[in-house]
Amino acid sequence: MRRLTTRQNFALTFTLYVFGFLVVLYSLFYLVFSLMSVYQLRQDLSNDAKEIISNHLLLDKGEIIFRKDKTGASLKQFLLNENASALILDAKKSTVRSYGLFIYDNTILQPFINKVQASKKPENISVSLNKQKLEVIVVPLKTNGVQIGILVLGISVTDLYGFKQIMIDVFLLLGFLSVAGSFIVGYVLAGRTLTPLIKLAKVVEEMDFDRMESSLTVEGNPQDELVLLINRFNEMTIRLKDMASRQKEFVANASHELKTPLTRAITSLEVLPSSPETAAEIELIKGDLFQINALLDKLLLLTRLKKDSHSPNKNQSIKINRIFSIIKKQLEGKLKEKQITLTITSPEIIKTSIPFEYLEIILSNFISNAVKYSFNQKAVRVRVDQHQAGADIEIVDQGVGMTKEEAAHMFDRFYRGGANKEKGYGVGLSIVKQICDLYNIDIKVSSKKNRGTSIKISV
Amino acid sequence: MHILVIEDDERIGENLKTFLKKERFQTTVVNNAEDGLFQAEEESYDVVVIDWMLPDGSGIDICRKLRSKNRAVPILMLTAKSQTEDKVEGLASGADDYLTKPFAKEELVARIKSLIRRSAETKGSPIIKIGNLQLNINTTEVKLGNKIVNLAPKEYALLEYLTLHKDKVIDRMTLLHHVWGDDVDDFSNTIDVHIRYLRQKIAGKNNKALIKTVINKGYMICED
Repeated sequence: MRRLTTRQNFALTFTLYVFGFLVVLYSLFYLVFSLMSVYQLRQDLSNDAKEIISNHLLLDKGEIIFRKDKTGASLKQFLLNENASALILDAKKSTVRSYGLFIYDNTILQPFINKVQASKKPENISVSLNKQKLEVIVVPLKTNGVQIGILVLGISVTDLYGFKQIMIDVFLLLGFLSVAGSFIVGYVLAGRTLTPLIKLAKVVEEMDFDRMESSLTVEGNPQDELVLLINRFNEMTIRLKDMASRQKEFVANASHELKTPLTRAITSLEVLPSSPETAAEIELIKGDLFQINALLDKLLLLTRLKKDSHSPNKNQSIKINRIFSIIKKQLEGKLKEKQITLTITSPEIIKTSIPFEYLEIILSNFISNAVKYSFNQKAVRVRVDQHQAGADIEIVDQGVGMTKEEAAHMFDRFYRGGANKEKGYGVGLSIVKQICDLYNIDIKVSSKKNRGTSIKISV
Repeated sequence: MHILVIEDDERIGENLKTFLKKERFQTTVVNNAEDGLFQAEEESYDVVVIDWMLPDGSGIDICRKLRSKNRAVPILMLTAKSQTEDKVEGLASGADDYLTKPFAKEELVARIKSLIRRSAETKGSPIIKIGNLQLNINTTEVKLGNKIVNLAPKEYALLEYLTLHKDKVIDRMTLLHHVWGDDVDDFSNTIDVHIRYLRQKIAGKNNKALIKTVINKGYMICED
């Protein structure tokens, strides 16, 4: 299962709280309503029973006599008005009259009737009769302390149950709406709360540890956790910046320091008395020393890359064919050795904002890598297309290619692809990346293991 | 040609001296800025090679001080700093050329020769002509008409110095300093001996002497 984001978690938690709160609230409301309605109903029943006894029954002389009330309404009419059912029994518990639902069946009432007969006290009960729910009161009919019969009065509460059902439906609907609403509100609120974090993530993502120019500013309570986090983060950035600059300084110093002994060694080799046998060896050693020097220069370049140091011109013309002829010369031996054909399709001059030296570094690295990692007897193609905004350069080889993992690391400093037998220090492409970052050049790499690599840049 | 090398690393200094000597340059090496500035001011050198970073100061400062005192001596900056900005700063301070460490011997020599050529107002060409005498300072080949003249190293050095400063009277001390460097006795007659040999080997049209003696002053080479 996909794991939830913090924002979704926040929103869900909020929703759950709201949901719980609603459940408790609705349950309480429902309970109170039910209790109240039953209580009210029983009050009504009791009142009705009293009214019937005083207005419709004459209980003198140990006999039940029915009569009309002052408005002339009979008991039957009264019961119809009240939507009530009634059962009147004499002292021997035989039915005197029955109304409404009690006409057909009243067996269910027998135990209560017996109970009231014995206790001589009114009794409230709830019964189901004929698929209807009834709230029933059983009242003893007494005159001068003598029980002469029993009145059973019942009111159907089916309507009330219907009302309760509607209430539950409304509650469910309201509950659903408020849960959905609270999720949305929670999501928005969580988003707002998390905004500084999202910003932070963006800054970290965009952060270039060699420059680290971005820092965050957040307004808010200094005690706020997020503000604290971001302040700490800024402090950390400063420390990292400091570390990075010290690292650069160290590399720069070390490279400089190394140049003196290197010069010493090279000049010593040059004054070394050489015989024909040693001359070739000495030249080889000298070559190695100069190669070390070239590497030191690359390291220095890495620490010193700066924009605008020598590129005042935004849209300058660059003789790109000169770069290609330099590169061809550099790769001459390798091309012959691996029998690779290097085809370059390009205008002689392109217009671009990147300085000649930097473009040379970029192209030389990409093309020499393409040749390096190409299979023997294959072709490396370079294509340059000039258009309005600049030039598109594409370098394609048919070689060992890269896995996704290797491609992800190809621009890391000192990274060398897996099982890499080729010579190198893992510095070249890192310089290329820095230059491209400096000039906002996007490098598109598509590579397939054992198929080849294609590099596209727009300069 | 006499070259002053201001380089704090003694071994590099010695190595430079050794291979510059092979190229027939007289070389004086000093190891700090103070001595370097003193030497450059007091003596006349054909080229001064200065290391940027010295224990008691920077090469840039020496450069500025020399230029502020109107010393026009060609200066070659030698340094481990290889960035464009550094090169610009070095050249702006008054250096005539810039070479980054480590360097190939050939490049250093070529740059020194080019500085000498430019400072000698030969319009940058390595071939200097005086009458029918032709001297190529790159190949050290000397021709009289179409005939190659074989010269001893010191004879060549003497001729080269006079030729580079043609039409100017050069006194004996200067010649001694630039051609023989520090390893000769000031009061010897070496110069006179070498001048005599040179005159025998090269003579102008109608056997007129190209090298002239200016009494009580020194020697001069000129066409007439």
